[in-house]
Amino acid sequence: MTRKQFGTLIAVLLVMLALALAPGDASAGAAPDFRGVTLRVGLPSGYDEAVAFREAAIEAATRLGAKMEVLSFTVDQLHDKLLLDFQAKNPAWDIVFVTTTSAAEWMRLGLVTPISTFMKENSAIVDETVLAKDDLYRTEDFTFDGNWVGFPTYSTGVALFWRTDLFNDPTEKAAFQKKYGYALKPPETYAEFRDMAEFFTRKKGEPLMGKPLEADFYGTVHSNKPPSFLWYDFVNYLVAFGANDIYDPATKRPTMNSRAAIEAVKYYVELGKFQPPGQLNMSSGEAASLFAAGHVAMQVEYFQRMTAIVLNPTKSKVHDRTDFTVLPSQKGVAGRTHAAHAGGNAVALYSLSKNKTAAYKVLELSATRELQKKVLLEKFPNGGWVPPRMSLMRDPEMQSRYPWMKRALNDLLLRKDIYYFQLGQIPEYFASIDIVGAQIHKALAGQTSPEAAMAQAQTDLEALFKRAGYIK
Amino acid sequence: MTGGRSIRGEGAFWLLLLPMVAYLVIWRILPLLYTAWLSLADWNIGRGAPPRFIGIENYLRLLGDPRFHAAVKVSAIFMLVATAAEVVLGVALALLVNRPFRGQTIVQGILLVPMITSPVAVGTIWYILYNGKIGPLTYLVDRLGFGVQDWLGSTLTALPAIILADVWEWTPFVFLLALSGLQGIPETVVEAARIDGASAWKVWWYITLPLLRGVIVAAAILRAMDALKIFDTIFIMTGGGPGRSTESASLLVYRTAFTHFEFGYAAAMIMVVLALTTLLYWFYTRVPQEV
Repeated sequence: MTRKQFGTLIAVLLVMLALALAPGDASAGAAPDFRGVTLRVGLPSGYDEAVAFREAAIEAATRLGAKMEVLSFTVDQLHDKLLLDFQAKNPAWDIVFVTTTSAAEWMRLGLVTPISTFMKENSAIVDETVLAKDDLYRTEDFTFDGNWVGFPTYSTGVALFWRTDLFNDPTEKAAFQKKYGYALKPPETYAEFRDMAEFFTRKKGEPLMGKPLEADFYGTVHSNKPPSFLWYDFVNYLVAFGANDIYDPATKRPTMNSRAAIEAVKYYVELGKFQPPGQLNMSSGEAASLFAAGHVAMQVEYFQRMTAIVLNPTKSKVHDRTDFTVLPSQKGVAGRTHAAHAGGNAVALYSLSKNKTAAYKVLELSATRELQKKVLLEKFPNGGWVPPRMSLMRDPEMQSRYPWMKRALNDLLLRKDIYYFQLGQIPEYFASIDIVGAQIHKALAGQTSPEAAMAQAQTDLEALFKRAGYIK
Repeated sequence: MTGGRSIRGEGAFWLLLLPMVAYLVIWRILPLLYTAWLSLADWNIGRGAPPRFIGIENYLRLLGDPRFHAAVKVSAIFMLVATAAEVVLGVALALLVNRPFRGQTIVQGILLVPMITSPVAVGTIWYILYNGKIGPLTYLVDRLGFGVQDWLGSTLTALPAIILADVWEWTPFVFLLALSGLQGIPETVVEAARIDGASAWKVWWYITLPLLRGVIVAAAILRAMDALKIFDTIFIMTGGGPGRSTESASLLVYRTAFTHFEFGYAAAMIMVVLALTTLLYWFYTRVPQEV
C-alpha cells in the first residue's frame, strides 16, 4: 500500500467513526432512542398474559429503537432461575416476570427495583399521561411497604362458570326443585353449589335434559394436581370458609388446623365425589378442556383461562351455553362474600439490569391502551387475555368484539361485594403450599381424614415457620 | 527403542488426557465437593442470606424426617420391582428373539424404540393411556367389565402404574444386553448338550443361565442404579401424589431445593442417595465380567 492509499484509508475510517459518534437526528426532539440496546426478559410458557406482554414489549422496543430478547421457561423454572441469577449477581435480565406470590419476596430481597422508586429517581423520563396508573388493574396488589413493584399483565380473578342450557332446562329445574326444595339457579352459597354438583353428576345412560347420556357427566371439576394447581383451586374455598391463607398475618403463626380450615378441607374432599376420575392429577388446562368438551356442569376457575378455552368458539363445544358469575359465599362467614383470588401477575425492573431506563420505557409503552388494544385484537381474536387496562374493558368496540367483556367488567371487576384476596407474601409460601397441598391430596385420595391431614399439615408448617424464625 | 516411554511421549500422554481430566474435575468432582460442603450448611436462597456452616445438622435432621424416609422407601420399592420385572421380561424377550426368523432385525429395532424415547414423553404417553376419559387402557379395562379405574389417583395403583411405564421404557435395555450376551454363548456348547439329550429347560438352566449370569447381574445393577434416581416420569404422571405415595427421593430433592429453597438440606439428601447408589455400583464392580 502506498502512503497516499494509506492516508485515504485512515481518512475514511475517521469519517465513519465521526458519523457513528455523531448525535441523533435533532428533529426527534426528546424521544428516547435506545438504538443498540437489547433487553432480556424471561417469561413463563403457557401463560396468555406472557404472550400478550411479549408482543407488546417487542412492539414497544421496536418503536424505541431497542431489541427484545425473550426466553421461555415453565413458571417454576423461571422463578428459580431468576432467584439463582440474582444470588449470583448475574445482570443477565432487564425485565422480570413476577407472580403475586413472589412480588413481595423479591422486593424485599432486592431482586426488583420498584417502579415507584425508579420513577421517583428518574422523573424526567416518566410520561404520566402515557402511564395512566389509575387505569391499571389492582396495582395495590403489587404495592408493598408503599412501593409499587410492577405493571400488571392481566386482569380478573377467579369466577364460577356454569352451563346455561342445563340450569334453564325445564325438566332439570323441576327435578331439582323436587329433590332439594329450592329453585335451580347459579349457586349463591357453597351448600347450594354442593347440591347442584351432586344433582348433575350422572352415569352414562342416565338422562340429562331428557336425553340419555353418551358418557358420564360431572357436577364440577377441579385441577387437583399437587401442589400448585390444587392450591390455587382450593384456596378460594379456604378463604370463603373464613380461614387464613396458611397463616395469621398478624402473628405469622400457621392456622391450618383451625375449625374453618378443616371445614373447608372437608367440603373440598366431598366435592371429589362429583368430579371425573383423574381429577387428582389434572392441570387447570385439562379441567377446563373437560368443561369445554361438554362433560361438566360448573367450574371454579380463573376467568382469563376460561376465556381462552371455554368461551373460545374455536376450542369449546359449549361456548354459547356457558355463563359466568361470582363465586358462592359460605353462610355464616362474615366479611368473605364471594371470596375469590384476585389473580394477576406483573412485569418489573430487574435490579441488576444495566438498561433500566430502556426497560422502564418499554414497560411504560407496552402498558399503554393503544398497544394493548393492538395486541388484543391481533393476537387474541377469540379471547384468552383480559387486558389490565380498565378503559379498554369499557371500550364499546372491545365490548362488542368480546361479548363477555362488559359483563366481566361490571360483574367481576367493578362489583363491590366481592372479597378479593391475594396470596401469602412470605418467602416460605411455596414451601407451605407444598406441605398443605400434599396433605389435602392425601385426604382427597382417601388416605387420611381431613382432620388428620390438617393436623399433620399444621405440625409440618410450624416446623417450617420455626426454622424461618417467624415463631418460636 | 527404549523400554519405557520417552519424556516427549509422556508429555503427549498427559496432554491428550487433559481434556478428560478437566471435564471430570470441572463437571464431576468439583460439583460433588461443593455439594458435600453445602450439605454441611444452612442455605435458603429465598431469604437472601449466604450459606452458614452447621456441621452435620442436616444429616441429623434427615434421620428424623419421615418424609425423606418415605421417599427413599418409594425409590427402593420402585427400584426393586421395576428392575426385577425388566430383567425377567428383557431376558425372556432376548431368548424369544435370539433365533433366526423373518423380520428379526425389524422386530429388534421396534423393541428398542421405548428406550430411545425421552422420559418426559414416556410419562406423557402413559399419563394419556391411563386417563379416565380418553385413555385407551382405561377404556379397555372398562370394556372388560372392571369399570373406569383411576390408576394414578389411587394410592394402591399409582406406583405400580408408574412402574409399568418404566418397565415399558427400560426392558429394551436389558433385552439388548441379554441378547448380546446370548449371542456370545458358543453354539457348540449348546449343541453338545442337546446331542447328549438335554431338554430345552435343562439347556437353559444348566448352560445358558450360568453363562448369562454375569450379564444379567450387570444389567440388573445398572438398571437399579438408574431406577433409584427416578424423577421425570413421576413428575409428569403424578407429581408425587396421591398425597406423597409416589414421591421418590429425587423428586423430594427437587422440591426441597426449588420449592422450599433449602439448598443445604437438599444437598444432604443428595449425598445420602449418592451413598446408596455408590453401594450399588460397588456390587456392580464385583460382578464377574466373563460370559
